[in-house]
Amino acid sequence: MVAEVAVKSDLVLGPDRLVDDIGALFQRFEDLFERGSAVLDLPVAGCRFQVRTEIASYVRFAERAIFASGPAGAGIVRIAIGVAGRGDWPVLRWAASHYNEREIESVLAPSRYRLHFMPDIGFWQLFDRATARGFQIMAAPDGFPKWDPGSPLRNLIQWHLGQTGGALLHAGSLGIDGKGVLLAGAGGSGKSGTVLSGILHGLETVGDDYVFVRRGPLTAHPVFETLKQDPAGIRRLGLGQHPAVPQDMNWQGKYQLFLRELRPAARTEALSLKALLLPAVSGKDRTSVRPVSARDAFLALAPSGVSQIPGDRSLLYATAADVARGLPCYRLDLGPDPAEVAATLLEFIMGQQP
Amino acid sequence: MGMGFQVSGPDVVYESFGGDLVVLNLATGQYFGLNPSGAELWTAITEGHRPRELGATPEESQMAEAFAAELQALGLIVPSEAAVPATRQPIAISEPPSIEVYDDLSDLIVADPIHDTDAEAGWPKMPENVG
Repeated sequence: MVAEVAVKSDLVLGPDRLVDDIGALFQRFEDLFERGSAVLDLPVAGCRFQVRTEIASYVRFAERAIFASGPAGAGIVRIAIGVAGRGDWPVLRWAASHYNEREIESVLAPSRYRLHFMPDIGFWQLFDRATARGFQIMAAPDGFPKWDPGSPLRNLIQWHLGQTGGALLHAGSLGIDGKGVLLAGAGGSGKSGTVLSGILHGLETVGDDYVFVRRGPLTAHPVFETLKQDPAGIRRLGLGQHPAVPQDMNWQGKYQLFLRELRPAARTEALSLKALLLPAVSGKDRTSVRPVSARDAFLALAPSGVSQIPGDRSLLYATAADVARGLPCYRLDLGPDPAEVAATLLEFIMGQQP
Repeated sequence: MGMGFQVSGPDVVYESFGGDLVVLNLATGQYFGLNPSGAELWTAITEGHRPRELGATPEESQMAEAFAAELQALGLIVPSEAAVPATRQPIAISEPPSIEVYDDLSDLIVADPIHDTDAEAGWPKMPENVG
């Protein structure tokens, strides 16, 4: 009897008939969504997202990490989160001997569906773009990737927002009075330290790690509250005793901070973008700005986001190109003093056209 | 007569930046930078023009053929059965076309590794503990 139930709850997905298989899963969506007793309901970049799950702990950390910004437009994105095999949640199985992510992306690209699967931890995300419904199915209540607490539901958010004329880009942001800059760069470039320097000295931000950039007049919108900084950066910024700095570091050996706990006044809901800056720790005494080519700026902006968000890679690549071509691009050679970095950026941003 | 080519498929995406071209092969995660001469040849070659007919001189056409062979070896273009489009103006190649392979872009991939890669997965392994 038990085995019979287990078999009934299994759902096999495979590359040969993937659209049909995913369609079969989404036939169960309404039941599974309604059963979720823990609810997260908030606007993200002007779209209303409602998450339902039995995993109350997931709702708590997602609520802390996602930057609610509205007002929400018409329509609602619904996401059901569950544990495979628990209650009525199906156990998903991959039919083929291996999972080739890019091959699956290609299969699904023209379809209504998006899929992300991590075989090593049994983590699934599926999205129906036609009905704005998504699943996140995990092997255990805490069976999410280790980076997920910093940017929960990132793929699902992109898969919806990507249809609204923009994309999530892996960049930080700073601004003042509604106009601002994107900051892009490699690990160790000083991007997060620059964002923290700015918000601790009077600048605004729509995020440090991922921001939603809308095309047209380029504007950046917040998606996540999270900031990350290593212990040396925390000391340099004078945050050692700040109550927003947690006791424990994350999987990267960094402290994860939240904007609304660190400096609520720095949170803003949109920045009209005026430039793309590439921070670099320079070893010089003073911070300075000098032009770089759009190509070099693109190569600093595009690769990390394109590699980290599956399913919409072509869109992310094209959006990053639009940003690099559409904005003046500069290298930001960082001086050692956070206050001086922020003052230089304030002057730079104020000097940009309205 | 030589053969024509086309972009090898939807996995190859490219963007132009003031004459330069940046090409990404989504199947491998590899980025390539083409200088303005390379970008101009890329456009003509991927429109289906035969490389050996592209140069303003025999030497330039040889250069175009060699460049096409390099693009093909990198998996960015494949031979095309499509009809060759109408003759275009020869390209005066002012500087040799070049392709830069950005192998160091793995250094730019900051934080949040997605998953390992191998021959099956086809996406580069992200470095751990960076960003």
